[in-house]
Amino acid sequence: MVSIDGILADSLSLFEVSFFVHGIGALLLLLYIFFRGGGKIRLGGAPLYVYLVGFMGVALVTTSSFCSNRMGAALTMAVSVAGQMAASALVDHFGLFGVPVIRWNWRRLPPCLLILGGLALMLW
Amino acid sequence: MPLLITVALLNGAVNIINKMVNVVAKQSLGMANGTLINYLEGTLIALVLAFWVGDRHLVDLGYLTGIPLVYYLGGVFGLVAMVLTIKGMERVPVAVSAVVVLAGQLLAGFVMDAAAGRVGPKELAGLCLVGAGVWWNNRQSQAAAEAAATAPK
Repeated sequence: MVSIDGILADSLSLFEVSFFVHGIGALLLLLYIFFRGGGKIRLGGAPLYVYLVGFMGVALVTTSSFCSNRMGAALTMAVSVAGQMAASALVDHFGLFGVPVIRWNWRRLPPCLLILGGLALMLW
Repeated sequence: MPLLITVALLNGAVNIINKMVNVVAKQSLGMANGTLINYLEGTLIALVLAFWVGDRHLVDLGYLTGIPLVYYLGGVFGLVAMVLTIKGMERVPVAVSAVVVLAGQLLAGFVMDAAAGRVGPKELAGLCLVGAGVWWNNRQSQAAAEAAATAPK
């Protein structure tokens, strides 16, 4: 997705790319709900922070297209993967969002160093 | 370059938070409605921001139809990826489910850059190291999860 969005960003601005990415997804979902999901749309009643997902979605599409266009899809993905690993470890360590707690331990340092080494090689 | 690296790193971190919040949205509203709110909000926010910064391509139908249809498929892939990720995250620890997605992302990045002739031996070696680190970390994470599950309460 990120890679194709990066190509679309050659023709459109980052926010326009984000509009199409989300708009096409919304259209497909609405079709699914009307034809297969019983036609019931219910958007209220979730915890308040859930309603921030739209902002995060736009931020994700625009930043990934922005980076992918300027430093290549491979490096963008590799750095993003490092960020995802760090965030995942934090979520697991503190049991955020109700997931089971899995404490970070020093045995996970060598894999982290390997990832950093890979990034350093790509950037060097 | 430091700015791009920082932005890509934050992109990864927000990606995980976004997935976790989407899981909560799905639990509160159901799979279809929980995902729909993400896409509806994203569409409106992107539209407002595009007009706010002065982008006008969205009202130029002739220009939009001139762009190859395949370039618009990012939305379809994004939707499929999100549904698969949410389903996967219900069953395994977040670090484990993330690893499967991460491997796919690395591969996709490699394929796109390779198609554009932008991948050399150095980039390939770096990607392999990152992939190996992700796999190794996954193993350690699973071992830690098993230890936590069998530890006396």
